[in-house]
Amino acid sequence: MSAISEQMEMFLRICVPYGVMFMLFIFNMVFFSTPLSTTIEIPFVVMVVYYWSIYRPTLISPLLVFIAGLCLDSLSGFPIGLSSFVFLVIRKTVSDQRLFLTGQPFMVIWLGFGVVSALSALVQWMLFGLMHMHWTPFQPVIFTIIAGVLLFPIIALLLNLSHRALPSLPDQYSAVK
Amino acid sequence: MPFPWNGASFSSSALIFLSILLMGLSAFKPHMFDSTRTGVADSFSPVLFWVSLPFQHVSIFFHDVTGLAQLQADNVRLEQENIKLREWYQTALLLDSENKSLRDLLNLKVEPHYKHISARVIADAGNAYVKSLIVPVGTKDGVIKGAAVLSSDGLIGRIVEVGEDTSRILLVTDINSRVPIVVEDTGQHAIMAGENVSVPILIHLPQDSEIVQGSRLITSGYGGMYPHGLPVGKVVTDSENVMGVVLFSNFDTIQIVRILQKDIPKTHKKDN
Repeated sequence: MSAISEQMEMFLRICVPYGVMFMLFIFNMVFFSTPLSTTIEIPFVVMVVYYWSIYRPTLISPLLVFIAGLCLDSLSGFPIGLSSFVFLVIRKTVSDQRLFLTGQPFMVIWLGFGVVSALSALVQWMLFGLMHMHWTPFQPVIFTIIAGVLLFPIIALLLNLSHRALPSLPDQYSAVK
Repeated sequence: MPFPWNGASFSSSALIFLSILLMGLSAFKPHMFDSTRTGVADSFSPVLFWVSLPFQHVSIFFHDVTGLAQLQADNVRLEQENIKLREWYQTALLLDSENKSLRDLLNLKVEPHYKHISARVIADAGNAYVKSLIVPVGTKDGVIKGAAVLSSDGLIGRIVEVGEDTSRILLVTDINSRVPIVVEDTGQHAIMAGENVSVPILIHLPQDSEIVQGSRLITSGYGGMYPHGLPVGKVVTDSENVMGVVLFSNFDTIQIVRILQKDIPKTHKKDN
């Protein structure tokens, strides 16, 4: 009986970060009626992929990241595969550097996010321009990067709280990229 | 030397390759994924609908609170306007009946009447690249691809994808949008092209164009996509003399949209 309740507890604990991830994914799409909503998109999913690629890459498998990207592309009208490509590259690059990043103070993590978010937005802008043979204005992209960087500490705090709900994994699992 | 690929990195690389492949297909055959897009939108629509509700209520609340002073001023102005409009209403009734009788005399083929479906916006792709909205009405509600979409102030776009329960509206500000328009005063035709910014530009203008700043633009009805006469916006000219359009619709506050549908009269078979 206790084994079942332990399993249930484990399941519920794992559900917490996935629930937060799903909520942030939906927030990426929900219609916020504000004077700035048509120019600024807050990159919640990039924040999620960046955070978990450092602290628990096993939580976001490449397949999950790929599917999340496909769903986001389908919902937002993006060329299919564009977000998946960007998220997978972020996941791979950041998780390759996680041994360095894990021990760093938050300021370094924040700075790292700034770099990752700027590069991903730039790559997305270039690929979109190449695919449509039309360069869209760059100013909204800059606003998006700034909004993402400014909001990252709050979202990182939220993700950190959901991280605490997770059961600790044996070293051999947490080390797997 | 260790083998450079472990399982996760292999799947990561394989999926990156697959993403590139999908991007290529999406670039060359964009309509190939239409059914996938509508399927995903249909699946997510209940969640998007319920999640967007509190945000829209909060946004309406803030809009109402911050607009109290404006409301008083508007009320005075509207009362004045209402008096004038009552007089115009009587004139319009007279003109309408005269117009009908003249049409009958000319045996003119009138445009089909339109009915509309109202829907609340549940998702917004208002980012730097794509300007589109998702509404929770689809083929079940009679929405068809290509239908024009209006806000309370004027044209905002057209339906580009229709699922069973959801539809995507491509906004007139999107780079893929082209709307045939006509200047109300002069009757000059042009195309309004989206630029992914809030002010679309006017293209295909004649050399001796006499369009002046502030001219009112309506849809011309050319091409059959948009019906004739939908209000679009007003002409503005920038410092480089490029003509743009300040749209009547405020895209920042759109919550409810109207989808126009041709009201095709039912034909009855004659019983022999």
